[in-house]
Amino acid sequence: MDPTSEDINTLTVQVWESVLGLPLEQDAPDPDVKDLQVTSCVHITGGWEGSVLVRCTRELAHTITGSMFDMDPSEATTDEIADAIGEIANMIGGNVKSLVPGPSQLSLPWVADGGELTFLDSEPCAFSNFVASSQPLLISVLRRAPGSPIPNLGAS
Amino acid sequence: MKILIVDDSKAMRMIVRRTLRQAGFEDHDVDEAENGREGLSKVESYQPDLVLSDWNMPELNGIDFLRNLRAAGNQVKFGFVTSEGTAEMREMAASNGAKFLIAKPFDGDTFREVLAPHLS
Repeated sequence: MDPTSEDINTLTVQVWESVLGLPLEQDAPDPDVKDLQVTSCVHITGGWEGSVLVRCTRELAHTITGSMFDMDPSEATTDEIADAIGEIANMIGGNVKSLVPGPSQLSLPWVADGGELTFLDSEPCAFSNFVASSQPLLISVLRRAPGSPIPNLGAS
Repeated sequence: MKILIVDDSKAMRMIVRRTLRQAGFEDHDVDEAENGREGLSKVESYQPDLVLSDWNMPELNGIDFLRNLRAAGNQVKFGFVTSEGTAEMREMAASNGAKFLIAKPFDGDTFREVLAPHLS
C-alpha cells in the first residue's frame, strides 16, 4: 500500500513543529518547480520500493539550516545545508518506511542543488505543498517499479 | 551522568543536545561521535552511562555498534534515536539489548518520559 498525501502532510507538520519550530502553511498552491533548487532524498528498498523527496528554495534551505544549527541562516555552509536538509528527508522517509510494506531498508540521504531531477521508472504516489517561512516547499513520494535500479545521483 | 550521542548528522546531534536541555537533563555531561565505529572508541575512552545512537549511519550502523559493544562484554545503557521505528526494528533493538527506541521527530516531553528512568 502506498503512503497517501495526507500521510505526507501529517509527517511534515510533525517534523516542522517538533524539530524546527518554524512557520508552516498547509494546502499551499503548486510551486513553480524551477524555484525549488535544493532537493534531498532518501530511497526505500525491499517490500516497497520508492523515494521520498524534499524540495525547497535555497533561501528556505538556509532558514532550515539556521534553525537546526541554531545559527544565522546566512552563515550556513554547503555542508551544513546538506546535513540539515538531508536530515529532514531522513526523518520523513523513516516515517514513510513505517507506513509501507516491509521488510525494507532506508538509504542514507543525499542532497542536490540545482536542476530538474528525473527519476526513471518512478511515478509520484503522494505529495504535499507547503509555504514554510514564506517560501515554497514540496514533499513528494515516488513509487519505483519493482526491479528497477535505485537512482544514484551521488552522496551528500 | 555521562551521555554519548552517536549520529552522522551534526544537525541531529545538536538537536538531541537541545532536546536533552529542554527535557531538564542539562546538568549531564555530553559527548558526541559521528558513527558506530567512532562510537566504539568513544565508549572506551569516555565511559558514558548512556548511549543515544542513530540507527542508519555510514561506517558502522547503530545495530552493529550495539552488537559490537555487547560482544565485547560492554553493558552500557543503550537507546536508539532514529527516524525509523517499525515494529521489526524495535524488536531487533530490544533483542540486542537496547533499552528503548525513540523515533524522530521527538520533543522534550518524549525525552523526559523515556530517559528519566535511565538518568536517575
